[in-house]
Amino acid sequence: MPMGAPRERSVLRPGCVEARAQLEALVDGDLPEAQAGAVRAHLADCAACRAHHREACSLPRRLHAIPPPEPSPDLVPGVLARVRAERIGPLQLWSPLAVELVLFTTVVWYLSGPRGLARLVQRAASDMGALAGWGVGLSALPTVPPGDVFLLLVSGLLVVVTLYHLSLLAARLGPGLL
Amino acid sequence: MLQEWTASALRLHRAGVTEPHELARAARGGDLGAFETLVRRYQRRVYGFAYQFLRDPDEAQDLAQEVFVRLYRNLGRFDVERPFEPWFWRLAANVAATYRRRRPAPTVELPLTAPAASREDQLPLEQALTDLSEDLRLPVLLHYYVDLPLDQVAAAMGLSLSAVKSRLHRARAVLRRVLVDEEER
Repeated sequence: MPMGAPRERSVLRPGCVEARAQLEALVDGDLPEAQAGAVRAHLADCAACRAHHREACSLPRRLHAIPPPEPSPDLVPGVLARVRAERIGPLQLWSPLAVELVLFTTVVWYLSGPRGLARLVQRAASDMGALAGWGVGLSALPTVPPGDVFLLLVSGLLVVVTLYHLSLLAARLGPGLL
Repeated sequence: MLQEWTASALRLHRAGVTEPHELARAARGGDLGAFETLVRRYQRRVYGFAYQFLRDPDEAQDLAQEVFVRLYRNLGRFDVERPFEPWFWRLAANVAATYRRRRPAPTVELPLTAPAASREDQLPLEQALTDLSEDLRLPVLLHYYVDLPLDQVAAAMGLSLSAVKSRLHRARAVLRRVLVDEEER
């Protein structure tokens, strides 16, 4: 304990321990009337417990009255600087859209509408069949056209950029967005 | 940039956006002026709370900054239909508890010449408050120092109202005994 031992301690009398244990509840009006009456009767007869009661009564007011220390003038600028460093600006937020558009246009151009899409599906099915044949030892490993590899790379890149963009939007607009 | 934010804060004030939940809503929408206004409005109470919780000016400054940065990061979770203060102080209490867990009070050797804010210079009540255990000190600070009503203290600490009352009674009993002993010395 930080406080030194008291020079003169008041002697506890019968009922002091019980009464002191209920002083805070008495002050807050949380004791049932019968118990409150018993504590008050003890207080009327015990000067030492009355001293405790006085402290118990004054404590809430004294706690309220503790003066708040003055914050450092650096507090607000420090917070704003940290927030500014974390903040996602409009340019950072929307610039991935341009990249997404370029990648998306490339994919659409490559697929060239429904005919291109059908061709891609046909080629993919053919590749899968050839791969299956290679797997069971009926044919050689099929060669993949360079255009398909390019499309795969562009599509993968589009997915990565889109995920990054979504993470920025989520951080900027909050978890309710997604 | 900082000047720009201050101008934005003034613009909000002139537009009548002064209530904490309105400012939080605007800050959530990306208005940094609103966020700055919130920080300025709560800096004194947050720093005071941090100081009484840690009793170290540098650590208190660090904790107060952390509370506001966490506020900014969590604005997206704030329900604008609900009052701001209970939500904010719950966040502050959590940040303070986490901060204390991550940085336990260092054991330092006391210098021969005591610094200005040594224990002996503290008022008995503040000194006794410092010695309270964390689970008793936190509700005392939130209720008597930050002035939160009991139900908001309970919400901030994730406790029932009766549990908060019980902790406050225990804390005040400890403080009261220390103060009576001090008077008898």
